[in-house]
Amino acid sequence: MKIIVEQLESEKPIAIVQIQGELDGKTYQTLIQQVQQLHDFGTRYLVLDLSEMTFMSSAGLVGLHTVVMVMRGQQPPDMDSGWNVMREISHQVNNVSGFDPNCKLLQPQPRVQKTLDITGFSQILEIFTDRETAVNSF
Amino acid sequence: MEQLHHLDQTITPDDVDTLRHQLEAAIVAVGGDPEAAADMILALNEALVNSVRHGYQGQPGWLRLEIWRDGRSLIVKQYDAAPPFDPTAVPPPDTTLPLALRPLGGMGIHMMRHFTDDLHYAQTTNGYNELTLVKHNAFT
Repeated sequence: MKIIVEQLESEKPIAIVQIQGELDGKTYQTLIQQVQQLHDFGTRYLVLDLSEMTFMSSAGLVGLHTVVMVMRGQQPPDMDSGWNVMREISHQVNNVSGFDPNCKLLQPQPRVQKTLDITGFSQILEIFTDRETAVNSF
Repeated sequence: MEQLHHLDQTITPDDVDTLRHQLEAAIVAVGGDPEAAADMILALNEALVNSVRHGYQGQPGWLRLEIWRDGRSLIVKQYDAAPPFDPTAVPPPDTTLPLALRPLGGMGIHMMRHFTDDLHYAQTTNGYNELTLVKHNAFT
């Protein structure tokens, strides 16, 4: 897996993180570390560009959840959180839109989209098909 | 039923990604539909992780995988010698519940169920775990 980070010059501290390759038990910690660094240096809004991500396992979902928690400045969960992931995220989503206010997803491939749908992540993390709309949603 | 491919090896958590790539390539090489192969690999990856991470606790352990064709169905059988564990006995989540009220645990098993058409567990006569994953309409 490779991660490409782009920090935007905008009023809000927004970064776009593109994940290339596979997000699984072997790689999800790398994503978390990268996002933790961004948060440490002031990023508060994140677009996760999934257009080049070819595979995501349940460990990858835990990675996504952890990223959401990190962007909120909260303690990440452990690997075995399972559906607890969803409970924690869903307790704190924006009451109006129903989506997390800090993290957005961009262009997941069909295989990844399926996983997001069947696990309920797509009910909580808003998915965009174009980058500008995703950035302007914050 | 026709066996298309099999492997016996010692597996560690570091081997899971290589193994799933190998198996996906093997399924497609024998004429399996790429979409069905992709679904099978998503499910099988969770089964492999269960085996190495929970069954063998991250230690090297024996694994046998068999790929079968039965008519248009793709069947993958996974055997390991870890302590008995039946993932099909884990209750499915009630997906009609709001997310905040869903029970804990079992996301990987939920993916295994969703991405296969049938999922069976048995213990072999010599005490191995045997997990059978089935995907219908995987061959034309």
